[in-house]
Amino acid sequence: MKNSIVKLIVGLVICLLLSIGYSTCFKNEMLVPNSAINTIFTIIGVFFSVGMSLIIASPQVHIKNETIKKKTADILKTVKSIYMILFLLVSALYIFILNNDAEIIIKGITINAQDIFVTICLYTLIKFVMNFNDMYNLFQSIKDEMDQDVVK
Amino acid sequence: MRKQFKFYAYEIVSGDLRNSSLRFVELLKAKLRPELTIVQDRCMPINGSHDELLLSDFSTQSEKQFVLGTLFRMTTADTINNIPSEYFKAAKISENDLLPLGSSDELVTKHIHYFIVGKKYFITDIPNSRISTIQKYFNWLLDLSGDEQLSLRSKLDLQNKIQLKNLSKIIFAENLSSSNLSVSNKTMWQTFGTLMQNMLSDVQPLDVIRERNLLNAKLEINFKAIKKNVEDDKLDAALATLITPTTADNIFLVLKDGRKINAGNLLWYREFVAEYENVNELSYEVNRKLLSIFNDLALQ
Repeated sequence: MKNSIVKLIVGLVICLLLSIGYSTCFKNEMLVPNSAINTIFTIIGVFFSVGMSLIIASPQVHIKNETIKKKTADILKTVKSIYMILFLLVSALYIFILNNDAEIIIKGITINAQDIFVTICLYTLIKFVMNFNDMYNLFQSIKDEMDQDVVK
Repeated sequence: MRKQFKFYAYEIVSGDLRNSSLRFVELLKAKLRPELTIVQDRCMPINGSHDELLLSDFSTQSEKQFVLGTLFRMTTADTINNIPSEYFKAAKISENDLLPLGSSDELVTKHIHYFIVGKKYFITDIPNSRISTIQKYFNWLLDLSGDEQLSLRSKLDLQNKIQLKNLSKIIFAENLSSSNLSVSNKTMWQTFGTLMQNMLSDVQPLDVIRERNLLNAKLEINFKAIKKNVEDDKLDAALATLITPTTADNIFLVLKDGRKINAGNLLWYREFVAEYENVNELSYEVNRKLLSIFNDLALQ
């Protein structure tokens, strides 16, 4: 859990630096058009729902090996927390940029809230997809092993 | 010619044999009386292989309490292949072209080991990992069972390496971390992909979970306070009980200054380089060295 939170913070800091770099280099140019922002947010919402459904439908209850069961529970708890943190962050930023067109310039460095939102959205999307894919693979491996035990 | 040897010392620790410490040597000497034994009687097949162990040569003296001997590990000649010198001029050698050294009825030596055994120590050049086979051999040869069985314990050399008061903890670990298990030559892109995967994903594959949690078992014994009046030879005896020849490499002693010592490095051994012209000379040199090590240990 601690490791994942550290990775998340590092990822978000990198997103922030990238978006500040973009805003400073390409002033007045948006990373994506305004119309695409709603679509990105909708896609993230879909992946959030699907990911959470997968966590709930995990085969964890059927695992007999205590070590694997505990480790799988830890992983699910971590992924659930990461999903919720990222979705809350993205939702908060979405509400913020809907009502504000914030662009602050401090000592020549431009901080554009919309660029930050888009970068964090892309990061969130990649993270959701990768976690979803790895979770699916993990559950599939567990199911395969369970099926083998049944056949034995 | 030169040949390098590493002689390890093992203490004889089994119940009955320890109580009457001379007993093992006496039993062995009695068994090896020339009128009672022939070579064939001393060949023990090793389970699961074509190999056999044989106490081939020995020297006993009635007034001295030791046996100096040579052990052969033999195998059937058809399992060892001969490579004619002309094969080395070809581009490659196919396994099918190899010629067996002989028929399945003939035996050839695979390894030759030397040993000396006295009332307290068994000194030999047999590596730690194979000492359990030697125990089995002597138990079989002398027909020992139950408490009488020969049991050998590695002699440790703690002098100048570790002091009881500096010992912080002992770690027993199966040295099978995932990094040790996966030996792979990844390309730059594959390494980058793995790095990104680790950065972005929070889910570990099942194999990694299993390796880290099931194979990487670890037991730690921590020492909070050690009485100063406990002598170091008592630590020697206690550690020697914990550190068996086969597990020594997986045991680590952590000192209070943070140094981590592998128990394998604490095993007592003496190195010897024999220079010889013929096999007779080699055998003489090795036996002379074994006797000198044996006498040195007896004086300690």
